[in-house]
Amino acid sequence: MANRIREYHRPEDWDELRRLVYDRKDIQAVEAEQLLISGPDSLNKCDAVIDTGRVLRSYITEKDNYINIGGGTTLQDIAESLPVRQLADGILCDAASSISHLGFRNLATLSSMMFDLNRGISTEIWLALYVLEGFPMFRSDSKLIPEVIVPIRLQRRGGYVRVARTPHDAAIVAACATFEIADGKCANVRLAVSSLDPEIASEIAESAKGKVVSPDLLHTIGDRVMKAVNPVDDFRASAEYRREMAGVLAKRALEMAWKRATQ
Amino acid sequence: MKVSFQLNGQPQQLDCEPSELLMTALRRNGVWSVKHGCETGECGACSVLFDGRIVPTCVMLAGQAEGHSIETVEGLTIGQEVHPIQQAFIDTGAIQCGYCTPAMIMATKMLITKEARPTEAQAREALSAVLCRCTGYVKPAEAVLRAAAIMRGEAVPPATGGGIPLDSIFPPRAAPPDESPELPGGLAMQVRVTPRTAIGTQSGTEVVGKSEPKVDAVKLAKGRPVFTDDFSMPGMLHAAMLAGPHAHARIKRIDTSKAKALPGVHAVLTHEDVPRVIYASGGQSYPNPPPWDQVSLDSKVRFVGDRVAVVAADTPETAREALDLIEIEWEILPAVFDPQEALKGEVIIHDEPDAVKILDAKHNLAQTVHAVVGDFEKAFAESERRYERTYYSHQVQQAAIEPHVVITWWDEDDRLVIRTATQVPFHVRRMVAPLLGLPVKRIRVIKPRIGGGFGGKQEMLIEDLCAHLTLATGRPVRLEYTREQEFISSRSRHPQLITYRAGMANDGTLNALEMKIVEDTGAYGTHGLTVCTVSGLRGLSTYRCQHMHLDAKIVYTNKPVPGAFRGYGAPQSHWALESLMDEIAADLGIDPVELRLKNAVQSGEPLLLAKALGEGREGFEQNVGSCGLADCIAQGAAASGWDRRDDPDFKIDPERPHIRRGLGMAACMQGTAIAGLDMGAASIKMNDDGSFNVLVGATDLGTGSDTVLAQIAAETLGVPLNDIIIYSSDTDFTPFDTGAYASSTTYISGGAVKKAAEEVKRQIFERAALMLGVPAPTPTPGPTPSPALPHRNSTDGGEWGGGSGWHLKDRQAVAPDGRSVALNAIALHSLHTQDQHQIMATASHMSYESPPPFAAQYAEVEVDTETGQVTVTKLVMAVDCGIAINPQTAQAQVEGGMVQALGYAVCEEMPYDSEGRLLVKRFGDYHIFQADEVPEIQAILVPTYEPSGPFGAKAVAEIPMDGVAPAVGNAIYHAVGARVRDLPLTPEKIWKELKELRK
Repeated sequence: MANRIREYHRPEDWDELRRLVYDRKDIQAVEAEQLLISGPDSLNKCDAVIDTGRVLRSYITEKDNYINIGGGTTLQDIAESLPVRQLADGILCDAASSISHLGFRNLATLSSMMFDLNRGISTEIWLALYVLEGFPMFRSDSKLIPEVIVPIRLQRRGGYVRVARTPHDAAIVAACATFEIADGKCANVRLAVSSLDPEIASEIAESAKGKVVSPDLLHTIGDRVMKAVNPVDDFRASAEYRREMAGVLAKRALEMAWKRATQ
Repeated sequence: MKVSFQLNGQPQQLDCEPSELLMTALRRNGVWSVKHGCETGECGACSVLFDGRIVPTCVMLAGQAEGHSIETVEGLTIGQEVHPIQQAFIDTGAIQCGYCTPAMIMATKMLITKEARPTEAQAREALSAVLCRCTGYVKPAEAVLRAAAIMRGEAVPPATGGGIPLDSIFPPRAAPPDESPELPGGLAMQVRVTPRTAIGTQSGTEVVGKSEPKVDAVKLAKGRPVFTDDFSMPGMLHAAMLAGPHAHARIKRIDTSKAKALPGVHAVLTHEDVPRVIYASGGQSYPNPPPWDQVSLDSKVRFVGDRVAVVAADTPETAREALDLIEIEWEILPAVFDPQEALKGEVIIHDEPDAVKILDAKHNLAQTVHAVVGDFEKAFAESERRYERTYYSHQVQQAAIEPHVVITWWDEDDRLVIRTATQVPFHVRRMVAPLLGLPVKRIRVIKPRIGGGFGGKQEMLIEDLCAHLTLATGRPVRLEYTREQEFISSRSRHPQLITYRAGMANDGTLNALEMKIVEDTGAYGTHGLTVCTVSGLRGLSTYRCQHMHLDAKIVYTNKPVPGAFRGYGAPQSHWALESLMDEIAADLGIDPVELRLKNAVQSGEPLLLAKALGEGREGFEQNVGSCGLADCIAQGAAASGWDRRDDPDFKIDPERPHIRRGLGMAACMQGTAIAGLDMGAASIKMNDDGSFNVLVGATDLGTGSDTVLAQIAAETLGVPLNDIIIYSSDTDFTPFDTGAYASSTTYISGGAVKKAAEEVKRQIFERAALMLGVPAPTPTPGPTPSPALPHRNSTDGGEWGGGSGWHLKDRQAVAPDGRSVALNAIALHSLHTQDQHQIMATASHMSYESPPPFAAQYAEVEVDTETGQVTVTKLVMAVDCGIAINPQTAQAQVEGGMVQALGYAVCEEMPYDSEGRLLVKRFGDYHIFQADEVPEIQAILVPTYEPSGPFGAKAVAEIPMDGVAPAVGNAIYHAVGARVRDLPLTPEKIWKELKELRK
């Protein structure tokens, strides 16, 4: 493993990191976090490792109705964070804590989730961030995420559901939804489902706007999700099953969020 | 590059390569408690506290440690001190193989530092950082809570729980068992006890029947270098194995010149370099059961992952780089992955002329098994109710956390030493010798502690490859599988397609039973015949039936090779049989418990197929001896709340309309050792201070067998457990033992220890009599053989001093007149004073019986009717393992086995793509249960007295694997009416059945 790697760099700041990435044309570099997320093969074809430990910082702060989460923040810190817990019934905390085991979550950072190209372990983080309207701050000079900013909307309620072989196995399908209520009706609905294009999910969720959530409405949304989703076959489940479950879980996530919003 | 950090509070600076993993850097610098289990951060065996947090180090580069603080278990204490967390793990029996224990202890430290009063949920979350394949996490979670209490300064009760009330079981000291009125016919004693998980420890014995701490617990808790790979030699080379990329292909040309030219490479071996010697890799009886269809390296690969070449180089990285430089021109051959297709013979997997005893190579039929009792067809045709059902049990991996690893070298006498993680050191020595062209006398096999085996190490798997490299280079060589290689190139459980036909009377009496098995043995036949034989025996023995038929085919396919795996064929047959019984009960409208009780075999009844179904040869007639099945069923039912089964309030949760609850059960029967085949020997030597060395060839693979054997010796010799120094195993120094499999160690090796101890006792009495000037005692006769079972044997065959008034107690030999001599005085007198003599003995033991342990397993589930997702909320197992020599370790076996079986039931599987490539090659995808996922587990020991076992013991290690899958499947049926007949019971399969039901 990693037998080509001859250099190890630990940049002190973004400028130094940028110089390594762009100015050193003689090397192929990878970030150290890739080893955790992508496995040993990720380092096989590279000459150098960039340790981003000093560049990516770990913090969760509240300011001006936003929560700022540093890219170096671990999933376990997110799972345990009280400020994050207040966001839509803690769906981001729940999504973070469902991933793998404690040791893994202690090492995996928010930024490292970017390297999850084929395993799907980060899916639920992205689903939760999407419905929370969190936005990652990408650095143009690298593929790293120095920070994610999530708006605080205390009236927003959330639902997060998943189907898996066991509680901490990678989800076969997961769904997140959030609601804000105005005059007893849906004012702002957001929905995210595994294997569903976020724009399509937004469009489907919009159909609930201004309405009271009813079984019929949930059924309609579930049906639309089922038709729109683009799932894959793998050893955990077939595409057919995933398609059906996307509909079921979309309904459940919305129902859970609605119940919390109207309690 | 230099990396500076704090290691256990001390500044540390390491020289590392930029690519070096933190795990290897730590181990290279003597931090042996950090273990290799995978390369993906998913098993956690390599975990340390990194700035106070538990993290896996196999996915960190050494450079990432710069400026940080690392804590390992080595830093917890100095010298012989034991930290309270370590003590809690020792006291609660939380340590089995111990490979993951250091990481678990560090996870505990992290939690307690943060939370002085943790909840069980917090304990389980902390432990989730570390996968454990042995314990089921019950006792580790208990250890965390206990450690926290100790560290808060609270008094904790003695942690000797988990026992069984033995005072009513053991006959009075020195009274022969057949004098006990509760043992009708000398065969069985059933004692009703109320369900419990932690029970008293009083008994008529001093050491046996007590939950003594494991004899190896301290060193394992301290992370000492006790495993195969915790060892390094000057000049040691590192080996890597090239696994074939095709399911079926012939090597037309292989060019190793570039690999050999790579600096640092010392040897590259292919089929062109090693002798072609046919063998079978299963580590079991001599001669190995057929077929013999393997060679060390072949010109053909028969599955993706098959051996192609091995390299030895200065570093592991160089060895792997060299593998990439081997050029191979392949002739790709058609492959077949389905046994039914394989039987058509359109693809011939074994076309080599030198394979031995393949039954029909042209149709990929490795072997068959047939057995008949009575007239099945007639009885079936005449039955009032007839059933035919087909069930499929799938391929799963042992997934021991310690990978296969071996180190070989020439010693100073030019003898080859093989230090290996094996369950079968003596079989390895016998089997590897002809492959290397060395006589057995020039080979020594050392078995250190083993990080779990579960049957996967009952194989001569990689020892030959490593040894070939030592022969080629003259250097020490180390070969270790990666986790991916563990999945694709080691062993697994045989998938079986089982079709049952059952003829029943309307009242639920079983009249006729037929079992047809098609077993997939993958590319090689190792263990294929014997596993299938056990499937047949176990699938046709639990219930009384006069007309039975077995027809089994063992079929080659181009898939990775199954082998021995805990249960050895019985989990497959129990899945089918116990599902069938549930289906019959539902059809007849009989409670599943009642149906089983009506038909279950009982004490004194014959096992009609035992003679026909020996392991690879004819077996021996067997009767059921001790049998606690009825009690197991009753106690399990009570503990599981079986009487709630039809209560709508139990089945339906109004708060969760999609959820339905269900209860299911299964009855189980396993064997204890292989009758007439397994043999173990023990040697006991008395030391100057009255302590004893016990040498056994038996192999403790984490089960606690060293402790159990030491307890048997201590009990017989009247000394506390810490006066016994037990050592296992080394083919140069310890006597022969067939090894750790077939649940045989307590029964067979324990029998040998007891016999040897009895002989040592005789010598002690003789010496004491000489010192006291009184006549020496004579032996009391052993139990009278049963007329029904003339070969029935006992482990003692007579007890020295029994009835004469001589006995050993509290390190004293006590004469009939009440005078006594201390054992240390006896030892010194014998060694130094008069008629000098080393008090010592060697004994061996085998048995023509295989007394079955029995069990009842219960599962409570919640099924989501919309998604098919199953949550198992509780598992109960009541098990009759005879007398548990160490109730705590026996209970731990049950708990760990149940969780392993739960993975088999609901998530673990080995799926392939259309080219035969395994799709799961890492723990994350394979997914074994972690601590915060397991349901409530309740293990109940139901004591019986097995006269043929040492102190009444029989087996416990394998039977927990048998009943969980059918109990869960039956519970799902009870909850939602969906009957899934192929494992594992995934959400999608259940959802599909539910969809069918709705049509």
